[in-house]
Amino acid sequence: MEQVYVLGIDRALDAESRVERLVTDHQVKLARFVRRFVGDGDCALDIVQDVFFAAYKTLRADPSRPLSAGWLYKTATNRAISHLRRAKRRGETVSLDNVATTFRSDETSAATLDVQTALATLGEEALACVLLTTYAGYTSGEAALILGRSADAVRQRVCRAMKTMRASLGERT
Amino acid sequence: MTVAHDAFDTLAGAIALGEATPLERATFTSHAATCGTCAASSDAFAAVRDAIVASREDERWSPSVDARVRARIGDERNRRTRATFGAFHWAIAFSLALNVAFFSGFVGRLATKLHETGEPSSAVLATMWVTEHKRHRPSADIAAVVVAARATRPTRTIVARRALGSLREPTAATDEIPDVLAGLDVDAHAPRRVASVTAMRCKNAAHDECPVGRVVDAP
Ligand SMILES: [Zn+2]
Repeated sequence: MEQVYVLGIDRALDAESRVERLVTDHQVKLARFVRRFVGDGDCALDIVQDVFFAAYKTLRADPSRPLSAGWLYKTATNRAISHLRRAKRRGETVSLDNVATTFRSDETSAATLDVQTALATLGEEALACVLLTTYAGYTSGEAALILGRSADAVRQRVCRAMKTMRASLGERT
Repeated sequence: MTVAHDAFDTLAGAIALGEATPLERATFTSHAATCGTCAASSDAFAAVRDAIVASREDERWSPSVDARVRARIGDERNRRTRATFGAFHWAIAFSLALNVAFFSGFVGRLATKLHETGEPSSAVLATMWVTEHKRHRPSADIAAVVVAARATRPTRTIVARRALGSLREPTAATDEIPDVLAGLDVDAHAPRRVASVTAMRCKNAAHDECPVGRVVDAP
């Protein structure tokens, strides 16, 4: 079996410089992704900061380790899921007013708020499948790798999540 | 929801994500002709996907965590420095103990034991730098991907291969290549033995520093 790989790693960079580069390249997109996930900007920033710090610790332990967006999204997704589950255990529900406040301050379109409200109706796993694919742009196969599931499972969840979202969006339009 | 109908949800998901093959589309369409649920839902998917994409384009929030990450790394470095100084005292005590051990002949016996159990590292190979590659505007003839190194669990190789199979190739210069595999456990999924690695130049003449490797698994 033969496969073509893109090789190479920038061995000249130390852990700190590699993390700096990751932060520069990915912080905005990753923060927006996590904010969509948890519905709160401050909480998203805490998670994103933790993710980059975890990247630093990983790279310090093994400076030649390949680590880029896929790892960041995987780590961020896991932390966002844990955050939502903890909140659920504490009995905290995502208030739709909160969602509106969070997103209204930065985004202008009412459609954006509607989408966020529809996303907030999904369970964590379904949310992860939808956001990794339609929002972050990964294929179902790639999202499957990030989530440790099969591509078919991701596709099924996307299908069911979209039905739920459609119902929610339909109510509001 | 029956098990048989799960398969149509999978197909509908593939269509919603724009990943379905013509055959999968045809299969779903002929099913949807007889299934009200699927007929209704398939129309809805495009609308939902478009709404998500549109809301992403609408986002203006551009936060920065540079300073916070840098501060945490600084704290961590200071903590380690203090720990190192703490360890320095222990090192002095240890070196005294070592002197005693050396003169008593214990060290010689320990060294022999360590040589017997030493094992060469199974780490094989380097990795990818798709991010860098993206900046060079990838050409369509490169199957962007991945990693081979440190196979720790050979059974996982199958998972990685399946994932590799589903990766799309860039179809235009501006196409994003998600570097999803970089840094994930895929290094652990890679073939345990790599027979050869040939470095070669990427086919796009515009890429000066774009190393592409051909990795051949050992049989
Ligand atoms: Zn059906």
